[in-house]
Amino acid sequence: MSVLAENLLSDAVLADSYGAVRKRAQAELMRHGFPDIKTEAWKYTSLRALEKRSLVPGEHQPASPPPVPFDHHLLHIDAGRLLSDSSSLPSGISIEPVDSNRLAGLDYGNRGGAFGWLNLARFEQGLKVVINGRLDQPLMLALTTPDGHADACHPRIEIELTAGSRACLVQLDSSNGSGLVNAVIDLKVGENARLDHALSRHNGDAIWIERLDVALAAGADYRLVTLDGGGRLTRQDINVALNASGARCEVDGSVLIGARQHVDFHTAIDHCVGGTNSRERFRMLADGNGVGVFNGRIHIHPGADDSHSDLNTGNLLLSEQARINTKPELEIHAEEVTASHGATVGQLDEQALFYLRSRGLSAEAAANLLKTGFAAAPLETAVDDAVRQWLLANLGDWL
Amino acid sequence: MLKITNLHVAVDDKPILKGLNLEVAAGELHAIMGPNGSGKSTLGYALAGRDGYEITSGAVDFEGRDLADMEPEERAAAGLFLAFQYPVEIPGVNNAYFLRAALNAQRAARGEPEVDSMAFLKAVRESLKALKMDESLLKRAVNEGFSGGEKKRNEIVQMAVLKPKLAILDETDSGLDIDALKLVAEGINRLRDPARSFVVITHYQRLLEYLEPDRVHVLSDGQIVESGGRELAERLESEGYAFLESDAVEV
Amino acid sequence: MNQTVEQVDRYIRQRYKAGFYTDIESDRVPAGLNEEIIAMISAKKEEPEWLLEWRLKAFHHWQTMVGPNWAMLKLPAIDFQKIHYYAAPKQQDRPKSLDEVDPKLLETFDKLGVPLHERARLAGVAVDAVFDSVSVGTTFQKELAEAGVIFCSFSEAVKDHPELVREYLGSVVPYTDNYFAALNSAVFSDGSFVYIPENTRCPMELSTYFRINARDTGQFERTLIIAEPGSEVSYLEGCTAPMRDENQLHAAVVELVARKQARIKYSTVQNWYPGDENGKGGIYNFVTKRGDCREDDARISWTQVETGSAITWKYPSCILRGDRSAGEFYSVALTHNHQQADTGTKMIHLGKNTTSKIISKGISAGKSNNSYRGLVRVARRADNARNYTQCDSLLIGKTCGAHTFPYIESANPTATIEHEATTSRVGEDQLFYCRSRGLDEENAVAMIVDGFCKEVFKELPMEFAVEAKALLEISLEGAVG
Repeated sequence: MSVLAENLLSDAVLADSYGAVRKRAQAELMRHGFPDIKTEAWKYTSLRALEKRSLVPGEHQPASPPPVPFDHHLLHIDAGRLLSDSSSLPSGISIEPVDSNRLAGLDYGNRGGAFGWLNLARFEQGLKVVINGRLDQPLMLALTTPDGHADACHPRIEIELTAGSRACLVQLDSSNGSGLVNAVIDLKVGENARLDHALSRHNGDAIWIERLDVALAAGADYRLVTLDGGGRLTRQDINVALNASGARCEVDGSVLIGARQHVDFHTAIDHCVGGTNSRERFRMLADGNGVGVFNGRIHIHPGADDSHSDLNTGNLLLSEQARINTKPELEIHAEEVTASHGATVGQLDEQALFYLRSRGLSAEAAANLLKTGFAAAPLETAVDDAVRQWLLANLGDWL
Repeated sequence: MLKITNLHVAVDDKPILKGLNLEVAAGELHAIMGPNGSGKSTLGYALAGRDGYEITSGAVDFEGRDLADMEPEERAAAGLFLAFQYPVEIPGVNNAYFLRAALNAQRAARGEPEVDSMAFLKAVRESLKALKMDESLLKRAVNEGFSGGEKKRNEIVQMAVLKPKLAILDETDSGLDIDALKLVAEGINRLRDPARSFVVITHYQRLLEYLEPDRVHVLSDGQIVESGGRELAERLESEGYAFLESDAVEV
Repeated sequence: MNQTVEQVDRYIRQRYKAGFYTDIESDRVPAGLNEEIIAMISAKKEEPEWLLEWRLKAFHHWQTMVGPNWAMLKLPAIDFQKIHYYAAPKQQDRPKSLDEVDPKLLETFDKLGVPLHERARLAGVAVDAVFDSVSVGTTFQKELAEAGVIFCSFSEAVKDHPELVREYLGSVVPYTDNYFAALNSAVFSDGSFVYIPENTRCPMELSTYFRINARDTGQFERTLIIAEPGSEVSYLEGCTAPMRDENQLHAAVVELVARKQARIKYSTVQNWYPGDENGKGGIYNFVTKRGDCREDDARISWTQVETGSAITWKYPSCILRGDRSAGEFYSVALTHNHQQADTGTKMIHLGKNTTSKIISKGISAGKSNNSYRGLVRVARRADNARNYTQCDSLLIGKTCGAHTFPYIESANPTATIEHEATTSRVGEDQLFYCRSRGLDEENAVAMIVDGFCKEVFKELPMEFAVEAKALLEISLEGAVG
């Protein structure tokens, strides 16, 4: 058995109403094993840092939810368990346990999806949130760990927007511990519903692995804006399935990677049927000896005629030791399709720096202005003013 | 104000300016003309301190300070302004924000307090209006998606707001239609002041018709080969630069 | 009507015109792959001991390897024991000149449009003709020798220039490189060898024509081109095979070495039998091509037009080792019916101020799949490296696939990498516009496809550009409607 399996799996299957689901997930995980750098989806991300961690349970004070400068409804999940008082939520938001029948039908594939299986085998408390109607305020989903957390936790949340609903979901991921957070978020956007999703994350030593699966019904509209401030090892998977005609998604993100940090974003947008649209834009800035990995896959399935997609990834290397590995992929099996992608890797534009300095800005101020401008562009698409300002302020703090 | 003595500048080890001399007194407007490749833009970049434009010998004195020792932003704070021939697009950086950041950085370097927001906006709006530019340009990224003419006029707006002591305008007239050209010339004339000098680099004498140059210089192969009054510009216009070939030897 | 259009017209009326078979007695080694077979091949070619040892090392390494298992690439199981690894037309001794070559062979190459006789030779192009596992003959050898250029079959080079072969063989593509390169290193039969001495510009185009004829055989050729400092050469290869129901394997290795300021231009027009419209038969074309810009200011340019083969798996690559060295890759890959093309390039920037350019055009029709798979890697010390990549796909029909897998790895902040890709279809409006001007649908598509590929065609030597264009049009036959 591999080091990871030894660290992360125990023989005792958690005894609760999800026992069968957990058992199956654990069996699948044991069958496939954890990924290594020969696994295509993990080619540039080694799990050595996780292997070397000794994960220890401990008694800790739960974290308080991080403050945000706008009114919101709160769902605070600490180390995988709901901490906030759900009775104060408005009538449009209801919470129930996840349905074990649905979990029984999940498939995370082979070793590339090992952490999905792991979550299914070990999740602390599966929560399902149903949003019905239009929310008056953003719903904030805070995923935290207790201070000094050095264990593994596996938060699992499903959020469903019923047909015609509209919501702004603000997700905040943070841990100041040294353990593993292995989250799975399932989003379901119903017919003609619209979900604006903002995800902000900033980690230190914690290892953060998160999988976001989004399913869109006919006419559904999903907009994700994400700002990642870096972390020792972060892996984010974003999978969006455009399952019915008229569905569209926009995925924008900025990722800041500093010294001794490694951030890997794998996104996949599946145009399963025709008449679907997607747009995606990612910016990565790598400094120190940081490593940024981006894999953006667009898959237009057979018969998904009249689908349109555009993907753009821009990358800046800010130091001699920084590295960027980026791969925009297209897989097209249909006609009447337009699909394009562009990728650039470079450094701050020498001309622009000189222009700014010739107007009186110091070299440092000029570089900062250019970095901010580069990273801010994807965040500008956030629809809610207050949320956008909050993301931009975070960017300023973390850059 | 500006005294250039025997200036040699090399780009990629290739000598471009080869012993240029120029003196501009406070309040004067000098025009520098010359054929393509004569070193006009190199002069602008060397004065503003662009990397790669290496002063191999000679001296540039700007108000008693040696420019060669100064960073680009120090030159800007000291009052030097270069209007770029090709203004740079800076995606994601808001035009108004940029201009205010630049102004405040210069003021801070000079030990002056930050500019008052209202006063700043008022000044920018007036300059925009004078150059017939839409206010919405302030909210857009620096030069991004601007037309060629808008970029050039934006340089004049910046100059008006930053109020330099010495402005070097590098082919600010190129690519402008006659109406825009007049606006740019008016923008320059409004800023004429006994304490402010201009060096106008141009290929054609068109712009000079609307300005009152104190001196006109002809730059050829890295040196000023002829200097004179406004009539020199007219002669260049009618005879072209070809006459330099024969005259240059005698000068 | 101009000449090109006439030629295209003529081509359009025929299908795979190279699909005939030459009835000639052949000397084959038994089917199967083991140490004895390898020793037998080596003995037939009267090779020195060191080369047999090298082959065996490669074979032992191959036995430890598995074939590639990649996204969007379906490789069938291949029974390597059923293949004959060596087949040569029977003849008494090696012909001393082309006059002694079996007329049937000369006739075969005549029919393929590559006449080898003195009187009919292509002007300005020296040809090495390879039939199954052996070289039939090389034209203009004398003229080339006068310029100091060596152009001969690989077997001859092993005999006549062993020191060169020994120094460079495997120095760009080691036998450990990949599954098919290891296989080739164990069983390679013939191919071409080119040596251009210092400061010499090769006086004519060099060309090798590969022909698979015998049944159940594979072709495993090996090409080595060495360009000494300051030299320059343009090389072109063409390939065809008879139409058969069985799949045949072609696993080649091409190694290019460009020394200081040397330039190598390598062009391929690949027209192996693609199989029929139901996907039966066709060549499996698994090729490792790599150029090493070993010293400063070297330049290697690959141009390929890939229309044939049931499966194409090839990534002509450049290792940009010398400072200021440059690599280029221009590719048109067209797939129709059940063909699969998985092709692209690797540009490995190691030296400072190195540049690379990639222009890839994929056209998919029928039920085919066409993938661009490429890597641009900038190493830490490759200051100011520059890459520009453009990858365009054109889809014709509802059942085909077009895929792009570009890997970009940068470890140097001064490097600039730009990648652009588009996928589009032959537009209704484009077609309608052409047709309203009087073109029929097939001609309109041909014209649109030709425009799509123009950037690549202009890199081909003149005579071959015409051939390449014509090939595309035949391959597209029946793609519309």
